[in-house]
Amino acid sequence: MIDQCPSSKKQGLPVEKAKTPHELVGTSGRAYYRGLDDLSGAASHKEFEQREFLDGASELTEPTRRTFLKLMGAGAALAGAATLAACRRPEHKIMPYSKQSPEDVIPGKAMFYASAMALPGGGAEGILAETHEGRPTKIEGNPLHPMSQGKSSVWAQASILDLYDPDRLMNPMLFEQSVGMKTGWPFIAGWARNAWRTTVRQAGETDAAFEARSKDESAMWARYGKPGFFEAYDASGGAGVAFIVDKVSSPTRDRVRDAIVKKWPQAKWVAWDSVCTGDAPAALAGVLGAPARMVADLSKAKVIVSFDSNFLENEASAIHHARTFGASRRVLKAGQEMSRLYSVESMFTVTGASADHRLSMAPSQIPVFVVAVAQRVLRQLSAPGTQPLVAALSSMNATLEGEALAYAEAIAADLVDAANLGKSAVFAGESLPRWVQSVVAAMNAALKNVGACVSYFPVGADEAADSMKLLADLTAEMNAGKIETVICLDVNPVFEAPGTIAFEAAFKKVKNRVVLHTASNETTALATVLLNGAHYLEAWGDVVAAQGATTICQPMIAPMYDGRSAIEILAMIGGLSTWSGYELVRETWRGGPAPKDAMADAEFEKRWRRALHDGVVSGARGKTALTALDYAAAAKAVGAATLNTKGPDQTALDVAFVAGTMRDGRFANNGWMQELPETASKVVWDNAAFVSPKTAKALGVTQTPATDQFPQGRVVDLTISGRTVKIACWAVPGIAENTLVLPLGWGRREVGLVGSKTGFDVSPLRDGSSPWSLSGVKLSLVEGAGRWYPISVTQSHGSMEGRALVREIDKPAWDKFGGEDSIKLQKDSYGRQQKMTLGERLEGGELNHMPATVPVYQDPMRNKEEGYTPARAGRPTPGVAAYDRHPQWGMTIDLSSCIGCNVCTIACQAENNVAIVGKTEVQKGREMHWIRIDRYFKGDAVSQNKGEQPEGMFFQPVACVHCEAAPCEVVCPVNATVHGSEGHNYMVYNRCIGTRYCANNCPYKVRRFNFFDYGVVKFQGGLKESLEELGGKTVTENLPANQNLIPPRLLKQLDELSKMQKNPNVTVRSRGVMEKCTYCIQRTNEAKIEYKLATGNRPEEYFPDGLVQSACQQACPTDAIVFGNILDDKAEYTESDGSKRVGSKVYTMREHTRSYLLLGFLSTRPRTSHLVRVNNPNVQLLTKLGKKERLAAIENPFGSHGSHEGGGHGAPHGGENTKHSFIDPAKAGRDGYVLSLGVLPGSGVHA
Amino acid sequence: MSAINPDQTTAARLAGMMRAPEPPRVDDPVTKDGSLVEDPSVRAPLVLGNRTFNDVTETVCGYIEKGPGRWWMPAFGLASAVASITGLMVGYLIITGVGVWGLNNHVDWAWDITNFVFWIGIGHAGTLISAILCLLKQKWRTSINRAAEAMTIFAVICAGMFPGIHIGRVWMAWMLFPIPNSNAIWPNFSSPLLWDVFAVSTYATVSLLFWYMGMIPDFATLRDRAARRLMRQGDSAPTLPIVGVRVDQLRALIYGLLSLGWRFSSRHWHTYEKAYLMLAGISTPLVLSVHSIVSFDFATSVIPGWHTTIFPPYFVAGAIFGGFAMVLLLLIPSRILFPGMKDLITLRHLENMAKIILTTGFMVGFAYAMEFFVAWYGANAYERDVFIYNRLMPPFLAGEDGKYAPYWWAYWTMIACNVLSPQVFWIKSMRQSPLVIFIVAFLVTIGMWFERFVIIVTSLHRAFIPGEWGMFYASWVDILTFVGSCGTFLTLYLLFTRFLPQFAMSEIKNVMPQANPHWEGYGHHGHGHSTGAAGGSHAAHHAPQAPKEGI
Repeated sequence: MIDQCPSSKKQGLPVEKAKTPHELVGTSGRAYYRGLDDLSGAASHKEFEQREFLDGASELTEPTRRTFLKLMGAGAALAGAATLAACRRPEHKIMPYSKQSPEDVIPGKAMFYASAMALPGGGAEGILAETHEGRPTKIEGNPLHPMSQGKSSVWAQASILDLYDPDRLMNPMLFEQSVGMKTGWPFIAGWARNAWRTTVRQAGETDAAFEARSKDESAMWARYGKPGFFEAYDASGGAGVAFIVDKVSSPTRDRVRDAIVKKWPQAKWVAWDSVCTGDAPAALAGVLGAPARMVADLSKAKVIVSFDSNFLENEASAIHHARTFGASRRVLKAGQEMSRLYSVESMFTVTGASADHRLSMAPSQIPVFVVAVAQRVLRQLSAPGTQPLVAALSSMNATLEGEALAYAEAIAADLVDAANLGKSAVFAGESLPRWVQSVVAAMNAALKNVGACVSYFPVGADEAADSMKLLADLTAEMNAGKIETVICLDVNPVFEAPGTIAFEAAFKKVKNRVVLHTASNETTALATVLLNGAHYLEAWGDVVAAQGATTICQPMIAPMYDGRSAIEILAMIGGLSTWSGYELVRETWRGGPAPKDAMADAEFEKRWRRALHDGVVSGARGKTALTALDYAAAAKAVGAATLNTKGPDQTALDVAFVAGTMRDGRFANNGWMQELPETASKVVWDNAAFVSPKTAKALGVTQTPATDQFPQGRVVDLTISGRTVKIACWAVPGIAENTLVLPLGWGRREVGLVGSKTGFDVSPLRDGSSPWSLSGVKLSLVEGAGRWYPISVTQSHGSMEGRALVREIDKPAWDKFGGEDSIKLQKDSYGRQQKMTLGERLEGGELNHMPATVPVYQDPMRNKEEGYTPARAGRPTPGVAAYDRHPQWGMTIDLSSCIGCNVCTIACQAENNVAIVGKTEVQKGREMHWIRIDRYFKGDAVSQNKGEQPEGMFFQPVACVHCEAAPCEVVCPVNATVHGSEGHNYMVYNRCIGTRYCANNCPYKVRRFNFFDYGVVKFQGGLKESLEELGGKTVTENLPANQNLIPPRLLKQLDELSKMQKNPNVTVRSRGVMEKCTYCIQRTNEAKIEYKLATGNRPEEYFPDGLVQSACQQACPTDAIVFGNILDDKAEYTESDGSKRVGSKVYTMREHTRSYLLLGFLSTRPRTSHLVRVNNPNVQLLTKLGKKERLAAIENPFGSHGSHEGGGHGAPHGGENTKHSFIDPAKAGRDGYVLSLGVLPGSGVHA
Repeated sequence: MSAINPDQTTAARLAGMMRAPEPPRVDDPVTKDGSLVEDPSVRAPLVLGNRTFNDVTETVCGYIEKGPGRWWMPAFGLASAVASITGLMVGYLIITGVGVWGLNNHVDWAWDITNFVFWIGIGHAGTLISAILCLLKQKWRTSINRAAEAMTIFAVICAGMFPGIHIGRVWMAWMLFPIPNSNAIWPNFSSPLLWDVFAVSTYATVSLLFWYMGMIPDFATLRDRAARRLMRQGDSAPTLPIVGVRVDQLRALIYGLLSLGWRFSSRHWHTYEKAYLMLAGISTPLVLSVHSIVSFDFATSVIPGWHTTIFPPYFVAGAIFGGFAMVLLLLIPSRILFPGMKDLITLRHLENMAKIILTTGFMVGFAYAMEFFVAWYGANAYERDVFIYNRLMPPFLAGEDGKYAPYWWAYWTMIACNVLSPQVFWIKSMRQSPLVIFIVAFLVTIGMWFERFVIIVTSLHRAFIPGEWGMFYASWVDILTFVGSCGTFLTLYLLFTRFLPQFAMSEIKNVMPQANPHWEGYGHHGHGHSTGAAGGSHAAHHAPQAPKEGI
């Protein structure tokens, strides 16, 4: 066992630390010298030279205060290298993103550096890393990166936490029977290659120690033979060596790979990713001629169809998809075009939730559905060359019934509509069989989408590799004894390998197991040579995004544990001319076999710096999209396929595997990801077998009530072909019947403190030949003590209870009622004149029916009585209401473009030092997220109780809305929460004594109390008892031990390393104080100061729109969140549709007719307003499905009240017309939902 | 046997070590027990057994001088053991964090504020009895007011603890008080929580003063008795073991200090009664204000179920209701445990209090009903949902949509205890039976605790936004803290019974028949009853007969 515990040293265990750096790069190069010191070869200089980074940078042996300070110093030196140029020469310059030169580095002021995060399976996200005095604290999207355009994903946001994971591997180690454990990069390098062998005397080493060490190492090398370990393979061409590497699209790695493959043609090269298995690129290779990945520009699309594809969240270009999709949904004018999304999937994903029409289908039946649609589409289009494909499809018996048939027909009709040709995009999820991928590609081609909305970009060989097959083949060879050395780089196949590939057993048979990884995992646990990796923020590299944008990744910080990146290790193993990541990347770009046209010229240095600065290599050879589609090949693929039309039943269930927040398991030790709620179920800290409530009932696996103190899922055994996994079931609406959805990446066995004992490993059930779905799975209930398993959710209630919280309108109604005149001055039930937007008049006009809105809470900032009317109090009009001093901050959240991707939550967590609390605390309702995504299922409770599928799922991000008349402020006895002159609802931590009265009185329940020292104390992990022996333990034993019940003094304080992640501009809250969203006031204040310094103008006079973004807004890929000065009616900006607007973005959105205030009738006058979600349903489909209420709501979206169409107030309440979408018809019929009180004559008469 | 050479028994008695032989009870031949007399022309006596003034003094002082009985020490041990749990729990809470309770971000107050309001409510009966009934010249109050006032003080002590410890940073609690500081930051005077601070502290202060002032003449009596015994006994007076101080020396010293030089002079009495009346006048609005202000914690909020204008009277009625129940819970066992107390606290007293329970029970029942009416009449769906789906709806009545209130059991416990259980008092035999009254009082106490729980927790756990609904589950610390507070209360009350006069002797003597100069003794109504009954010859027996004095 490798002892990773930093405290081992105290127990006298041998934890050695590499103190000497590896041999300097380029020793095999020509004899240039760089200075007199260099020439003289002085020992001191040599030592200095051999350091990759400056003194002190690579000596973090354990996260103590001292090393922390060193590290900070090193980081600062790295960031502001030139500031220290006088004393030390920086070797590797990194370039800040701003125009500011490093000379101007100001302590306390963040610097941004562009880089990129390689996405698992290929592709990349351009990022900006915010660094404070040399320590990266936050990831943002890179605005210059064409894929990200300033946006980011949850994984990018969370990756910063992995950097500071205290459980990371800290030392390279080599285990040798005779000598024991050896460590240190010089040794490892020397062991690997003779050329790297050096016995450099370390600083302060005595003669005796040096001699002993040299002797020791010599003995070691002797044991491995005179040549270096890997040199021995040079002769045999690498026979017996296998590489298992992750899938990244990196030109440098490709170059290094090619060099190695050339040198060692016999070596096996396995590009492994258990999530991106390479099926889709391979399928597309069949029809396009080269492996490719589909990237769509949805801003132009009118019809989008997703066949089991979570393209808004999970694909390599998900951010791009989300951004363009968001743009296509942001309707601002009546009659404006918007996209229509159909989604067919097994479980609610963000894509399905955003869909206008969603059909839940068992995974085995989705191909049938695709065929049914393709048959219709291709037949009707009869595009040239498609005949054989049409024939092949026609021979398939894809008979659909009922709702599915209606959907298929409607989708086909919408796609082939002449107006939509070339304006649609059809997505096929990677989970679908390859032939289905070809069919979908053929559909896109026939629909003339390719080149218009849809592009197929070629991918590299590694990305296209069929991981499952390669790994299976390798496993067979390993079992056959043909492999004696396996090199695993940044992969964890021992954990991820599907059940059909017995990789672990085979791996153990291999003699030499060289494993590189940043964190300990199941594979590193079996390593004989364990190499600690560098986080992507610590290493040089390059990476290509899905459509070709290339980024050179620069390190933000010196490797904290002196880890090495995969390219460095590959270069070391392969004996390349250098194994410095920096030199390797530069070599690539200076003119290796990779895109030389980008920078390989005389101005290389200039261009290099430019590329580092921008985060994108300008002029790099992008990717050329593939357009020529071979229908015949598709027809051939279809011809070879068989269609499984037999749906699942209770005895033979369908299973769908999904890659959730953990992806393939690499985020398991990331507390932010663990505590990020799963999209539909809101389960945290665990996965579960998700199942529909109806199926759960039929199978007897329904969980205990959500109102239980700790709801428990029924534990079952899932079996297919002798493979079994044990997992708890959790019923969630919206899953296809007789289908179990199993998220991958949980149940890690060898993982740090955070990820231990979370969830269930479902890979053993997977089948390498069909990695995404299985049919015919048997479910058997586990009996005995371990039959229940506690599950934590952040939201236990899924019904909106008929309340007008999320408001929606269908497009036909929007076109009809959303025009210029939709903001109306109308009399409410009390005879008052009210200016009401469309959003406020929807849903029975909640505001319309409330008593006179004289605020209970006096507005502390109000300074003039004049012009203050109850009508205005109800809905503040910027510029007229009390707050007239610029700037006045506000926010809008457009529910139409919000896709519920959670990135705002995690971006806020990173920005504002929001703590994680753990599974038990979440179940107690103590999660700390400042912005949460409320999720509601559509459809009334009665039908859902009967087991019917919900009509949809909605998201509503809710953070503190900064009420102008805030209920929290008035009740705080100590003035800890007060109002700011710019409309902030301040939370003064120092003043707070924690009465929690404010949280009680907050109608939005956005305040978060530090019941314990969540932020200050080290996270202590999840469950007390291991779930390994689930069967043998009682439920009570499995119940979590609440580490928080231990007094804080006795708990381990947060280590210095974890503290490095914290944003220094935001207080880390102690226990006993309340906290909540601040509108990122630290950013606002910084921006104001910056603006004042830069221009000399007072921000009070004018503050340019867009100069400050809140963290959630900045991350939001769909621009659903807008933040700014709500009084600014002068700024000019261009809308996404090209129209010009006057007024800040937030001003226009807030004044927009879709804007409404959440719980506005309370007169709290929130500064955050939500915008009505606009759906674009297919009216024919609604008619066919008999959705009468929905159709009625299109006719009259206002219910019988507040309708300017003259609904007539005298009409009885609860009539037909009130049955709009949010109102549970049963309830409306029973007691009348509407709020009106018909006591005053003339009420409901409109102005 | 003379006073100079007393026999052993007399010596002990005089030394306060032994009780004088109990004079046999002499019931009024007409009314028997007397207190439950039905004849409208006959007033029920307030002191039974034909007691003399001296008997009253002996009875009341006897509990202090001779101890309440053998049961006291075990009871005190048990109660103080339970009370010590409070200390442990509070210590644990402060060391560890408020999270040791079951609170969460949906339900930020639960047992802490429930207990606070519960204990504050308990205190109300004391002030009501001592102040309002005093002003209304309800003479029957005299035998219960001291105990009720003591109970008030102790309940306020228990109540005051909870707001103090429930805050997240206890060490910053001083910021609640308007202490001048260099930052010129004052507390937020618009916060009801701050009003609470002032209301409760005023209430505690006035109640304490009132209670203490009422005890001054009785302290003086105790002092004088001790001093007299010391003079009589000289060196033969028994001494306390170990310390070697004479018991009566201690008594004379302590009660002497407490009695503030009271000399029973007419001038003293004159001033005393004026002051007493004034304090009663000051206390009277406090009875109404304290619980009204406590109810503002909820009524001024925006949360449906809290935001209710009927809260102030509803809370006051509820407090009186709960307070009387607690008085009964304490006095009914006392009647059994303390010899002679049955003469002072008659069945009529109990019946009167049972009637008040019935009345105030109706008031809270009316308030419960009004909440529903207002929720319906206000036509606010949020409010209506709180009352139906947060409180009322049991799962077995849930409709097709399956919606029910998870805390329905708490609501129905409250209704059963507070509205239904007092209804037995419609039956005369029930409201005259101490056992039944005790059971009902116990149920009402439980019900009143649940009332506060229902108001606080069920309103909070499902408020406006269903996405943020959640449940509250009490932790063991929650439970033990409350149990500990009950122990604290009982400990303090037991100490009170041991060391302080449980009855206002002068006031009781005032309402005794003998106090009436026209009283002629029993039997004036022609039954040949001798006033010189076996009770010994006291001057009072020769007082002329007077119209019967009583309730």
